[in-house]
Amino acid sequence: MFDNPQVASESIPAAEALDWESLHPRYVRRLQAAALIRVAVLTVVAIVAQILVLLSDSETLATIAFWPLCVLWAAVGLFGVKALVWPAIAVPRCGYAVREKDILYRSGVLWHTVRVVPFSRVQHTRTDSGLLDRRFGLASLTVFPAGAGGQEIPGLGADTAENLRAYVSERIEAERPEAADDDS
Amino acid sequence: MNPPESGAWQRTSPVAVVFFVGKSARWVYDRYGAWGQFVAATGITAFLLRNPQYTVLVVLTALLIVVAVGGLQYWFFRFRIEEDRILIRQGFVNRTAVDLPFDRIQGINVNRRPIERALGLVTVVLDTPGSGSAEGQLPTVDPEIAERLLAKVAEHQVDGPDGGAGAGRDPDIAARDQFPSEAEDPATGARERAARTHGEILQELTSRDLFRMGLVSRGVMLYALLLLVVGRQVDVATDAALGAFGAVRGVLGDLGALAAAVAVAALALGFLVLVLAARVGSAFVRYHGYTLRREGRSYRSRAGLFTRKEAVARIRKIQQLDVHQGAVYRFFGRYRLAIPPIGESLDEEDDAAESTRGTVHADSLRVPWADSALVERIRSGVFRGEGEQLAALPGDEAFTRVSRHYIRAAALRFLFVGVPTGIVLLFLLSYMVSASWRGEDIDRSVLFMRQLEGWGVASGIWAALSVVAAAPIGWLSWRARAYMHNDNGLSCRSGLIGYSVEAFLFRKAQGVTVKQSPLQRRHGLATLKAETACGSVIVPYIEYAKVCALRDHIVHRVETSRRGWY
Repeated sequence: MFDNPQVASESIPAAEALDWESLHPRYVRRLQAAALIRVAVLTVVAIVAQILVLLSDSETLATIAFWPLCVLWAAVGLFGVKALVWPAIAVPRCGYAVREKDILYRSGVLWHTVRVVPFSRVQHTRTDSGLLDRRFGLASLTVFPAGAGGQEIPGLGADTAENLRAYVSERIEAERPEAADDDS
Repeated sequence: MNPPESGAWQRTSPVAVVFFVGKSARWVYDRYGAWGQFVAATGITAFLLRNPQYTVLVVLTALLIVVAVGGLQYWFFRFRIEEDRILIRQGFVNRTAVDLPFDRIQGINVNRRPIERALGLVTVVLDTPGSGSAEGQLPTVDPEIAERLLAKVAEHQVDGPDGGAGAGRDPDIAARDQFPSEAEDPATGARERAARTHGEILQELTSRDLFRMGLVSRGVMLYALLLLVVGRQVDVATDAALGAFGAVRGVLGDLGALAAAVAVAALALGFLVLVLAARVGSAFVRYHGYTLRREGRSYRSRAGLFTRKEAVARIRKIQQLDVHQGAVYRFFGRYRLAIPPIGESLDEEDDAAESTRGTVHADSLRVPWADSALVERIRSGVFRGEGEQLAALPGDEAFTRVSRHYIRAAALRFLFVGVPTGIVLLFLLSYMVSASWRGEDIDRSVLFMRQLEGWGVASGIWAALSVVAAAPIGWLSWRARAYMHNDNGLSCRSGLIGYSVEAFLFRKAQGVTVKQSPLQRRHGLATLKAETACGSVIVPYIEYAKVCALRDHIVHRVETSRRGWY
């Protein structure tokens, strides 16, 4: 009843020879916007702290607060640069590929990661579109296999996300495994 | 409680508050993992040492919070049984609604705590795929409800998609069907049931086994902290002890230093005995009367002194097999074997970072004191027909080591994680020491400066020791890291001084990840991570080509296998 024919290793489809689909170009902007908002909050904190120190007459406070304030401003600068530069580096290195029986997502600039999730193991899917996402006309799709964490594919165009979700749902239904049998 | 009509929302019995109090306490415990508990315990201990007058307040507040949260959870917990499904609503911050169709329920376990036994109530645990079964728990309900659920589930599964496996389910159903009679006669029910259940007994633990298990289990530090707080609070006892100490010293007279050394040794020994006694006691509470048996196509374990806990693992639903052997276990030639249920992370005991997910765990089936023959037997039972050659014992010849570059990676990781953690812990420790300082009255700020000094020196020593120890530790963990696979499954060994082995069948994989760090890219290596429904198996630092081939093979097996994963 259970057959398990030998498969020549050359005939197993390899995951390297793939045309990776890149994420939506606007996703870079969206990440930059999100990061800049965080930097703006940090900047406000730094400004308030600076003003408080400047307004107070206390000599000791000025000495004590000098280095922490330096660190704070350095952090503002660093995060600001990172907010602008990093998404432009990271996003082109992310990508996804949809095959007949599974979906792949790759990411990482220094640490490269490729994850495969077979459709036959996906329990459900979810599309998210946050405030910023909607502003840029983007959405993300997450597929959830059982037990293991969900795989998010961020930065898809809203239409692409919807199409992909429909396709994935269809494939999930088609690939749903029959319940395992104890007899072998 | 009146037999409720079908379709009405109902609460469980008010006794469930006890359950929810336990659950909220357990949530805190699960959420903050091993290190979190340690740090929190240390921090609270330090605070109490400095401010003993707050002890009662802190303890009362903690109790009050736990009880209040438990009460709220009880109030917001409702369930409703419909024709083909059961709906459960719970939570007061995050309100969740669970909708369980009966044909998705894989099994029903009925537990009784002592308090439930006294009141004639039961806890029903609904076993579902895809998530920890804790969502489907009905605490302290009337046995009648359990009976009705059993009947409904059985009814829905006859014409369900896997009705074909009905023959394999028979022993289970037979066992469950005996349940009503147990409800009528709670006192002798469990014993009678145990006698009546047929099935091959695989292991029964004797008191001697339990005693030895208690000696080798962990958690000594937490007990130590507890004793410290208690000892510190009971000043009378402390003074009495000190008085006795002084008297002994006086008797020994001019032996001086030697007497002090003897006294310290005696104190340490007494402390050790106390801790070991506590460990042995907890082993008895947890595993008294442990029986593991095989019934048809499932394994069933039953143990516990006060609360009898039962865990069942249906063989076809077992996702991965987990065998641990710590250094002391190796001395006794024993293994700890765990079969986690779907949805639980395997790494909860070993990896604090992994255990912070805040899920409430379903019970995994544990074999806490298995010998190699039993491990082999369970392995061949679980992987029957497919993974016959998969290694489950750490000493197996078939294991291949990973690349030597792993030594450097492991050493670096130890340095980057171990040194900062150690420094934080040392700070807490120094705080505790300074807080419990009982010498001459000195200024707080001077004491604080001394504490900082001591902390700095200790941290320096710790960092230096870590640098020296990093290379040996890297080498040890490389020596432990090994993997083996065949066409159907993969088995991976890891550890440091003790070993653990994780084995799974390819067709049970949920996803595969290939990772490459910059260092790995330079040497053409990569890390393979195969996720199953109850954790993941990671094989680091093997050749990139090999990783890709394995990944493609696993995916191929998942996608072409006609057998499902549960």
